[in-house]
Amino acid sequence: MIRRIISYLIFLLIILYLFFMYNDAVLSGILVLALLTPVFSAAYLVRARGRLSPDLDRIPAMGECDKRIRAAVMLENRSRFQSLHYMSRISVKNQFAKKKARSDLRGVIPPRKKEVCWCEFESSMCGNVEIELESVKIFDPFGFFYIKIQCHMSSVIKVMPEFSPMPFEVTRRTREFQAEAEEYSGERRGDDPNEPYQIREYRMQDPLRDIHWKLSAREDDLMVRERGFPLGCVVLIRIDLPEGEQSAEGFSRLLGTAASLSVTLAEQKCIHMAAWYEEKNERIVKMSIRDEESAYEFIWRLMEIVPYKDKEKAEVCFEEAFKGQEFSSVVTIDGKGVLRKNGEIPEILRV
Amino acid sequence: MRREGSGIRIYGQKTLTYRTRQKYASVWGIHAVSVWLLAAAWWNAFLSVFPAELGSPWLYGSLAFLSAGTVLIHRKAGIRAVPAVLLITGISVWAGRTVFGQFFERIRESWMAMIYPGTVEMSGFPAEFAFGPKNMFVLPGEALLGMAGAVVTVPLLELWVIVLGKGKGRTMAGVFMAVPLLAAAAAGYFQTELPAWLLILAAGSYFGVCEQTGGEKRGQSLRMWIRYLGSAALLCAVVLLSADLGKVLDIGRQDPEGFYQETRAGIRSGIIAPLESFVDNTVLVGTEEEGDGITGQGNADPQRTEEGFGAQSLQTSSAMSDLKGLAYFQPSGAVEQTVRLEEPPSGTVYIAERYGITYTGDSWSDMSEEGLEGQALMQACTSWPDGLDGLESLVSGWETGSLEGLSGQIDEELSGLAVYDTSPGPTPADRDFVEYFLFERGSGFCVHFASAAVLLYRMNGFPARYAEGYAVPESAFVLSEDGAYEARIDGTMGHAWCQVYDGESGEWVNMEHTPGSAAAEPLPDGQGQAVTEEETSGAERQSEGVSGDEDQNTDSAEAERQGVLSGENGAPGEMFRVWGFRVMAAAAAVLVIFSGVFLQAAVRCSWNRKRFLEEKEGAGITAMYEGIVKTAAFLGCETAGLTERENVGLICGICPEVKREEWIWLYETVMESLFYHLDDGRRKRKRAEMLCRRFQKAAMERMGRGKRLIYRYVCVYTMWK
Repeated sequence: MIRRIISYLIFLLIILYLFFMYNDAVLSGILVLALLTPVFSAAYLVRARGRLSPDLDRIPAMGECDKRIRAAVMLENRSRFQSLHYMSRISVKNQFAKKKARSDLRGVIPPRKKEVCWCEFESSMCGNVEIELESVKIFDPFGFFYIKIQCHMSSVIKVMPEFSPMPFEVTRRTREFQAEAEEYSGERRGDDPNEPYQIREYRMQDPLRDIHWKLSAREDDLMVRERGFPLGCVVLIRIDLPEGEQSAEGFSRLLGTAASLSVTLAEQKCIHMAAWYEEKNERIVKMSIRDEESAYEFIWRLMEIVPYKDKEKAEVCFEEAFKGQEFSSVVTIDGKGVLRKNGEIPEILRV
Repeated sequence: MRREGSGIRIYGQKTLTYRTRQKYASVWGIHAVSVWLLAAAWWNAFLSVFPAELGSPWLYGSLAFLSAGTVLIHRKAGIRAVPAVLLITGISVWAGRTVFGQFFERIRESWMAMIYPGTVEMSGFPAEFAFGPKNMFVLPGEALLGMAGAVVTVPLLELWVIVLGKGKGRTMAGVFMAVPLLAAAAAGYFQTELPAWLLILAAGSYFGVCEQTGGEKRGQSLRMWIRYLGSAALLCAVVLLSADLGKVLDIGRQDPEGFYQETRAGIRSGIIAPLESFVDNTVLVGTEEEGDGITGQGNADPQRTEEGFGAQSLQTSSAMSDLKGLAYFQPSGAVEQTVRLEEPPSGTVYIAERYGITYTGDSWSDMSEEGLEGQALMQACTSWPDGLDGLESLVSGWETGSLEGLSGQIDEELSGLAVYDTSPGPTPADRDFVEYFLFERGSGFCVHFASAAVLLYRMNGFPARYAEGYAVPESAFVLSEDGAYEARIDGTMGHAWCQVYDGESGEWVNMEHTPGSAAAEPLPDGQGQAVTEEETSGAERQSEGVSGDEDQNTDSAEAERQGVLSGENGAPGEMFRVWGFRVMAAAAAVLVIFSGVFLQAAVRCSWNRKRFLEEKEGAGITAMYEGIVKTAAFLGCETAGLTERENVGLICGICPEVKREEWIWLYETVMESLFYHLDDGRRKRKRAEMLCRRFQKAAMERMGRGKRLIYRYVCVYTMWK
């Protein structure tokens, strides 16, 4: 607005110069018009200011990385006679990024009408993207002076990563690892005596301890009770996001790695658990992932993670949370998206 | 589209209603009307000050047609139509270059007629144009001019239509709207009330159209028109109010001691004069020999002349009496005088009308008013006022021998200290006229040089006087029926020079020291002032001549007789030049296109280089692999996503020279860089680079020539050196 005021003053100076140096009577009228213009503009803008209602209501909840996302700003002109020439400023920013991207949307709203301004954008990094309607400028009829309405309305869009399969090896140990669970496999036997898998006739080399004596006596034949295979989480994916190490690129990489790892494990029928520290409630958030759907849900919830400050407390909480619980492998993904197994960065992951 | 460092890319998006409103007929109708009104008011304002006969009905009618056409084209094609429209306009101008040349000549003549009233003869209309079967349709010459005016306005129409459509660029549109007002002000005039207010109203309604033509649904055009007309009516009311209130400001305008006149004088002395002297001191203006002279009698509009730029111009009656007020030279209108010679002149003929004797620092006293004669006159012609220390120190040490020698020395000094300038600006009140000219400003016209020369002669002991009158060039004389040579004197021949008394011959000798002036011819007795032959001043005759207009007209007529200027008489040299220009223009266009292609390829190659050299987290390896996959797709292979292993087989098929294991290694390295941590990134990147180059070479060998060119200069997937 400063620039426009300066431009107006320069214009006024030119008119004044012409008024004094030329005898033509029309210059007097032009000078008066130039002096009255800001007065009329101010009156118009003050009245128009109260007639515009902005709203940020058509925002999608999620989007995909590197794909276009459309968000809309609604503007309503409550004036009965005035059309409003506006310019709305929208900013889009990744949660952990430092820079914002801004866009100006211009238009004219007739009286008593609503206008929807669509903004399309694309994010090369996944994570939480905040879209904000910063301000709306209303211009006078000549489009020179304007008044700014500060809005600061914002909404968050979750940009999901690509769930692409990741190359790693699931070892036999992991496949045969039996973690405690309340659910048991209906397809294979295990070593959990709490849940029988099936009862069958005795075969050679069956361990004696598996013989179901009661049933054997009834059936007049040796019967063996096979134990169930618990469908517990055999792999733990630990998300480690301390404060100070987060960045937009790193968090995007973290999400991408976690998503790929989780969906690949799910495809390999490897039930796993994801966990991260929630400092606000001083607890460990745990999620069991069995299939693709739960993998998507894991990433969705992971986007709400907040970097923690107290590292020691986080470690203590992790130890407490997984006390007595064993996993075939523990994979840690840090704030830069770097994957570690048992504290070391593997060349190729073997779980 | 805008890229940001945050990884967010925002695409420009129109609002739904904004995009839609462009397509409604009622909207484009209002746009066409507002642009036409603006263009018509624009030309009306221009022609009200520079009255060129352009066939106004044809002009405004053509503007209406072109405005509607421009709006319609933009409604269909948008901004993409701009190059085509400008190209068609250019072709039209070129095809009708004769008519357009006459149009621009008419505009120029109207401009010159306002700047130099009475000196320009307006040319006639072009010949009528017949077309159709048996030439049954005839367009009069003024129609052609009117249509030409409308066609040259097309770029402005384009600008205004684009601003209406985009809503951006209003400032530029407003600046061009003000061109008639600024042009008039630059010429020292201004529009009268009606044209000025019409232009302002048209501009206001144009800007208001952007407000009123928004987001209408079908069937609501009547409401839109009502709002548009209502806004126009409101604007008219504001204009009338402003005009009435302006009359209040006009009260007291003529009072010499009123605020208005005092402010005007203050602006002149406090702002304009220092600005002009600053500009003159810092910028050297080339010499220009257009009618060096003094405004003669019969100045058409002395009032207008005085108000040229807020300073005095050179006027006949006050030239000698107010030297410091001289700001610029402006020739006057035609003067009814004729000079006759019995013999053909051999140079410029000087005819003096007034003589300046006593120099006071800001004026020359008129000899006829002083009434000095004989010894008293000689004494006055050898005196100068006190305080000319600069001049005195300049001449100290000069060897005052012969008149010729002194003349040469004065020429040398004057040409070294000052240049010719028709607009040197006024002299500050506290400075001496001649010393300020020589030692501070360094530019002036004949009055300045003549005054300085007179003083220099006097300081060297030669009686000298200042002379004002006319310098009639040799070319102005024509042989009359009775065998005498006659020349018509006009205002452009007004001049000032120096006269030195030659004691041996007892006569006053004309001494010309203004740069660019030629030798003088003494007039015979009884024909006015006696002049004697003299050597040339040492300054070469400029191509324009002392009174350059006559010579230029002669040269132009001569050139036209030879058909050099027309370009239509088929002279081989002219044809070669014309075709040569066309070929060069075409070659330049092709060069520009190719340069653009090469430039963008170079920029993208450098961008590729930057990406491929990135070692952090294997980004360079991933980028190269991505380029390889894209190249495979360019060759027609059905590629999969970047992380899919199937691409390895396709790559092996394209480049079988490289072992499959190598490609598998590349793929696994890319996966490692995407999902894990890459060790020894530098070595692996170099290895990947080698594979990428081999692949590129193999891929390009499989391409045809055309495809190779496209790949190299358009796709540049793997090009980086």
